[in-house]
Amino acid sequence: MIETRGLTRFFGAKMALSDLDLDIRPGEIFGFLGPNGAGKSTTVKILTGLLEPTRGTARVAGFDVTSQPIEVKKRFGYVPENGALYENLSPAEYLDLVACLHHIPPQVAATRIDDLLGLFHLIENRSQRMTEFSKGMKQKVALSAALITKPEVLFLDEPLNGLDANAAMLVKALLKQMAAQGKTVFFCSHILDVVERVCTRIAIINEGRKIVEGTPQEIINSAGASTLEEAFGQLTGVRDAAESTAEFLAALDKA
Amino acid sequence: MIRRLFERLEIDYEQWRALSRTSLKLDFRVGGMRGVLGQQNQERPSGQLIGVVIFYVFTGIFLAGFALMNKNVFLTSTVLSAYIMFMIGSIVLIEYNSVVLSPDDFEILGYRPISSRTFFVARLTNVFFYVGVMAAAMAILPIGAYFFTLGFRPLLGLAALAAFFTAAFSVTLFMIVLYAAMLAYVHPNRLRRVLSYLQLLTSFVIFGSYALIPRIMGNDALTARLVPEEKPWLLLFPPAWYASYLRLATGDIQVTAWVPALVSLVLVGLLLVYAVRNLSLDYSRRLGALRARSEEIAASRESLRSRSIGFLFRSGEPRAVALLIRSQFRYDQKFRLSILGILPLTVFYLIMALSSGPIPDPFVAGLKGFGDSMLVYLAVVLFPLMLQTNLKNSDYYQASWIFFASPMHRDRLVLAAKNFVVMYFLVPYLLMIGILFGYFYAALWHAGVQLLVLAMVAHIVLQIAVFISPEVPFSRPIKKGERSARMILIMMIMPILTLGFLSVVFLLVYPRPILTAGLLLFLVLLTFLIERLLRVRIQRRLGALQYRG
Repeated sequence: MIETRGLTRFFGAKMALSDLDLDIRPGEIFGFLGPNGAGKSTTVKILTGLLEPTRGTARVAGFDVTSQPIEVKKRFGYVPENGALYENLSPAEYLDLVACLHHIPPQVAATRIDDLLGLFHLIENRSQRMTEFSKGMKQKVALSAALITKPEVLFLDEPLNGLDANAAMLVKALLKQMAAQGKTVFFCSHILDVVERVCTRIAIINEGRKIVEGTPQEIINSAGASTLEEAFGQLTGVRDAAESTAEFLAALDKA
Repeated sequence: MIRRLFERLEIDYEQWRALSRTSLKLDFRVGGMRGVLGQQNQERPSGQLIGVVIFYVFTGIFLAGFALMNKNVFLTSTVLSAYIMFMIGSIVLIEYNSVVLSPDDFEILGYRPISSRTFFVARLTNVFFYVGVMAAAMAILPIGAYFFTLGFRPLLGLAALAAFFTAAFSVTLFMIVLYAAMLAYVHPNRLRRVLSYLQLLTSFVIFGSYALIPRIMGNDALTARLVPEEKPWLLLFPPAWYASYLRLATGDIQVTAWVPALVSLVLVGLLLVYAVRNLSLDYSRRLGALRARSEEIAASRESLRSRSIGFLFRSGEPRAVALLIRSQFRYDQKFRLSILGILPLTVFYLIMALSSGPIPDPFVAGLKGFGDSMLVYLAVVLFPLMLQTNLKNSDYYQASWIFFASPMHRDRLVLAAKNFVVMYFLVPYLLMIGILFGYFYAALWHAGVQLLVLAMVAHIVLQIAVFISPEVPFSRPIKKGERSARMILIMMIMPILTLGFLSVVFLLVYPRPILTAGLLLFLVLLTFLIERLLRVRIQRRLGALQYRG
């Protein structure tokens, strides 16, 4: 469903992503992890057609992202990391726009909008402008916009940002059910315990290169760790957090 | 019919309609506007546009009078077409070219299944909507006048309608095609620089032609004492091509009437076909590349510590403001283009003033030669004010939370923006014209006094502008039409006030040394008084200077 070969992206002389190979099958919830600036968002932007790769190929739902971008874009839903929305619209207006852009018939769109807003408890806010929304409410609208098209593939970049505990539980359950229906979920997150529980397979990248791939348990075992968080720290070469912070605070006191 | 046409052009009608409707909805909903004297208004969806429209309709009264009084419809419509083309050209130059160029909402729409062509045409529609509204406001009264200029002749009125709208859309299309072509053909790594050069060039062409037209045509031509259509060179002047529609409507079917009209229509057609067929194909991808390039530049930015920004802006609020303005200029495409659209005017005004001969010494010549050199004096007041008005708004206004959430004095922030304009724009310009004054004036002290007067007048004008509407820099959202409307207002009102004041000074004050000394003292006192009042006003308005994010 998602396939990349030698996917590489440079920003000027800086390499953001190097020779990424991925094979993600239908029905998988694929966790894509890495420290800040590791290349996660660059990968998602390439796969969603927001950026072009410097070299390499990527296919989503059977179509090439560079040569058949429109076909690809018809088939996925995306929740961007920054949750960019037209905040001067109401959720209903925004979802209606998305539905129009995907050629969903108005009656069908209206039903789906009601269903999604109902699911995320936004029915009472359906006509309110999103400028007045909290971060979590905006995130719910972004999730609704990704789901309204009934996508084959879902790209989620920090989808639980700002969500309250109930909404987060709802999203996790939703992802599992969608995967059970054969949809593919590409899940980027820093909340490692969620990734550990939700994802069927994980890849970790660091400084633009994939360093490990496997099921959560395989990765934990290969690092000789007891949790994914511990394995992540070891694999990405992060120093002991307590030691680093103690050094920082000492330096701050001296300055 | 539109649907079928769009299908043939491979534009998705449904998507185009949804995008066009949404972009207008968004434009009309940008809230938190402040009215005159800065009172907080409730959101007024279309208030700004209505204000601009009323202003243009008002100016149309004079244009209609001009059209009614002169029976030479070709001449008057040439002048009016030139006016409309200049106004629309400046509006597009100052803000609407960025509608096509800016990758603003690419993060929201870039991953939707919208073809490049549909995306481009939707953006073009948005620009055309505003151009249509403004052209209608400017031209409605003159068009009405042409129905009656030669007795009741509906065909002449309709020809005027066609001429003015085609002129407005042609200049818009020409500029958009120019900018979109840069987007299409220039490598993203060089695009920002090339666009900056293009902006400077377009600014020279538009403002230059505005200042040159009366000179080329001569003042006599404007009062219709000459018959310029007999001069073949006039037909090389694009506004005359549109004016030819009116000649045709009067029954003149000579080659000199229909060929220019045909040329104008063919030109529009070619531009439209080229834009939709060629430029739109790769548009989305190019916008994406432009966005990626901006991220690259932002990622490679130098350390703030290494930046030198002058001794007056070394610390505290002034440093914060100076750093912000510099960074906005480097990274914010819209701000950069708006500034680059203004700066060449300064040089142009200087050249224009010098082309009439030496700048006369007002202490010796009084008002003699004032008309030819007035552009130099106007520039001192006009351009700092234009720049100052550009420092209020930004697409990144939400980032101004830092000013509101940190222990900064907001009055110092507001004043620092004004002082930045003074230090980096007003002072260099004064130094430049100071050299000229020193060269042309009879005595050096004349030049010194004149510079002091101009500096203080320009500073007082800036103070008054800040007093009327004090704002924390870049803390207001950009509303379409607002920037250009302010610029046009400034360009219309300030010359009258400034030149009125200076002519009184030149005529009555400079001949008497005691009065000159008194004027200097008065201006110094006034500067300090307004500065004090300004601080009091900002302190009082602190409650209203709130975060709009």
